[in-house]
Formats: sequence, C-alpha cells, structure tokens
Amino acid sequence: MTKISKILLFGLALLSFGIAAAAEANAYVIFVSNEKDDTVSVVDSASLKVIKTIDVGHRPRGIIITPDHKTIVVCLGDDGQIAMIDANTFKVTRKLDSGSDPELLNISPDGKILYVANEDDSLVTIMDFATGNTIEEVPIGVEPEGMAVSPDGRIVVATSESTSMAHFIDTKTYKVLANILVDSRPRYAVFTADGSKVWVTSEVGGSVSIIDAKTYKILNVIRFAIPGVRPELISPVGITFTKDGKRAFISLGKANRLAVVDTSNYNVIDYVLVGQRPWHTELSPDGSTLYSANGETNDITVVDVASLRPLKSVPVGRLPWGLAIRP
Amino acid sequence: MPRMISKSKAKTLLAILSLACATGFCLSPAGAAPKTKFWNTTGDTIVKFELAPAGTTNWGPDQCKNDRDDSVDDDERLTITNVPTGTYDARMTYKDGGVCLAKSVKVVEGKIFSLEKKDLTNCTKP
Repeated sequence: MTKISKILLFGLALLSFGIAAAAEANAYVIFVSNEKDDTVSVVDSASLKVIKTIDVGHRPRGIIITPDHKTIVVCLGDDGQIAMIDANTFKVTRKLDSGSDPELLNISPDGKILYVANEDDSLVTIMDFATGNTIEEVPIGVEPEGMAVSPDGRIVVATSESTSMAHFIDTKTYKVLANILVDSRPRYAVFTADGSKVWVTSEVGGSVSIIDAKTYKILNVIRFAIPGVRPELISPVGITFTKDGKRAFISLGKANRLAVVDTSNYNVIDYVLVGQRPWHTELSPDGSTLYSANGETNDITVVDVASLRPLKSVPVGRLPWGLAIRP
Repeated sequence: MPRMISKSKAKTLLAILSLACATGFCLSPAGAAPKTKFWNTTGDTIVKFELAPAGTTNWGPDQCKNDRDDSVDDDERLTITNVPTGTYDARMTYKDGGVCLAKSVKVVEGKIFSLEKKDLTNCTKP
C-alpha cells in the first residue's frame, strides 16, 4: 500500500468515526405508553429498537417529559396514580395518588406544577411536582381528558369528552374563566407557541376547533375529507406542531392517517398513512422526524417531516397510546 | 303553541346540564365499591352488550344502557351492573348492525375484563 493510499484510508476511517459519533450524539430516546400491556417501551432513535420495557402500572396513557428532561411522568388510569420514571436510568422512582382515572396530564413551564385530567371524577387535579401534594381540585365537565398549559403558565385548558367543552382555568386563582362548547368528544388541547390560540380536537365531531385564547371565540373549525374513507372513521385526537409552527399534524384515529395542516390558513396539505388508530404523535428534538403511536397495530410509525413520508414501523407493546422524547 | 328551541340551543343546554351535574351531583360517593367494567378493544363501537351464563342463551339486559350515550366506543369502558362473578358468553351488536359472540368470558365483580377482535366468533354482518 502506497503512502497516499494509507493516508486516504486513515482519512476515511476518521470520517466514518466522526459520522458515527455525530449520530450517537444526536441519538435520543422515545418513551411509548402501552395502554394494554401496563408498560412503557423505551425505543432508541438510532437503532429504532426497543431497548427496555418498563412495568409501570395499570393502563398507562398520558405521558410527558419534565422541562429539565430528567423525568418521564405517566398517568396510570386504573391505579388512580401517576408514575415518575427516571429518563436516564428508566427506573420508576415514585408514584403519586392523582385521583380517579387520570388520563392526560401536563406540567407548568417551570416544571413545578402538574395538571391531571381525572376522567371518572370530572376534575382537574393540580399537584405540586416536588412534594406530590394535591394543591387544588377544579370541577369541570364530564370525562376530562385534554390538558394544555399556556406558554406563560397562566392558563390551563382542559377538555371534557361528554360535555364537549374546552374549559379555560386560571392557574393562580383556579377559577374557570370560560367554558367553550366545541364539537362532540373533545380529546386533546394544545396552545400555539405564541399562546394566542388553542387547538382542540373533537373525536366524534371529526373536527379541530381553533379558539382565541384571549376572547375565547372560535376562530375556525377544520374538517377533514379523505377519498375512500368513511367520514365517521375520521376521529381526530392528538396534535403536534412542527418546530417552526407552520404545520400541525393531527392524528385521525380510525382513519389510520395523520392530517397535515397549514397553520396560516388551516388548509389540509396532505394525509400521511400510518398504522391503525393513531392516538398521539411526538417530534424528534431537531424537528425532522415525527413518531405516531398506533393503538391497533401495536407499533409506532416513523415519519419524515420534510417529505411527509412514513419511513418505518417499529413494534412496541399492546395498545400504544402516548409518546415522550428525551433528547 | 309550544315554543321550539333550536338544535344549537338544545346542544348548549345539554352541555350546561351535564356540566352542572359534573360539579354538583354526579361525583361517585367516597369509598364506593369498585365497579365491574368491560373494556372494548374489539375495534368498533358497540351499541348493545348482553351477557348470558356460558353455554346458554339466557341473555341479560343490555349493559349499554348503563352508558351516557347507550354505546361503548373502541378503547372505552362500560360499567357492568348486576352480573356476579362467573363465566359468561357475550353478545355484541355493533353500530353498523353486525352481531358477534364471545364465548366463555370470565367476569369478576369489581374488575375490568376486555375483549379483542380475535375473541369474537359467529359474527353476522348487517
């Protein structure tokens, strides 16, 4: 081997090492709550393999990561508890009594306060994250589910499935500021990044309502039509905005697709075919990849955000429901 | 002449009533015994759910009547009443009119039992 060949070979080896190291540095971990297996699957983003299955408690659904990325918090519907998982060691570190049938939860931007939707009790339970103590219980409509926190932490929006309302709650006084009627069975709520609007999905109504966060007026209602799919199968649930806020991915449940919506004009740009009954989605830390938890196919679909193409299906536990990602 | 109310007003009224119910009168009493529940994971909405002692056709009352909207959607729970612990056959009528059976379903009072698509037999199409 000539000297030049050796130098070239060494350079190539160095380059490969650099690429591998960069991939490793960009790797992150995806946590998926498996409603029927009572577990949380931990998926490595680089290999797209399940690297750990955590026995967490009964009927895990709502799942979030704390703002400091240290803890995964999961609702355990059949235990009346929420579980804390160390995001690095994957161990369950503690469980808090949260009231009956917690379904979805959220956390204040400073990571100090948890907001839990208690489906059976028609309550929002407000808890201190550090102590686990209940600070307040706020009665709202029947079967609370969606739980959004405004970017400034001042307002929480909870949705009630049976009452078909979005309830705006002041996080200082715990008073309900407004009850906004939306289409049937609202399941999820999320604020836009600037806090000016709240998007609410209605599963039975088949729509997404856009509510002005100050005036509480419904600004727009997005509806969906997919050629060859019966309208009653279109059942919107989860919402994820892209990092730049220009698009929203709406999980359409029994329609087995994600709708991609242009947030500037609320037009549907495309539908992405994923696994069966997608519940919720989550974006990778760099915003380039979206993951969809698909309840009936027991998998997550990996979607390329730029091309809107589904890339791969990754098997997880039974009835995957929610996702959280640790950078 | 009777005064008619519009559909939207009726919808608002219903929502207000259920909200009032939620905040005042519909909370479960503390210490109540856990309810027996059916977890529908069969993939479709059931509008009639009956149980009979296994191997018989002595169908009990429609348990969907226990639900607020007389049905149980996929991945939703239905409260089962007046059914003691035992083994039962279940008969499910779906929203589209199809009927399916599930044989030898174990029901334990105060616990949750679930049925999946693979548990269904003798399905008849509408």
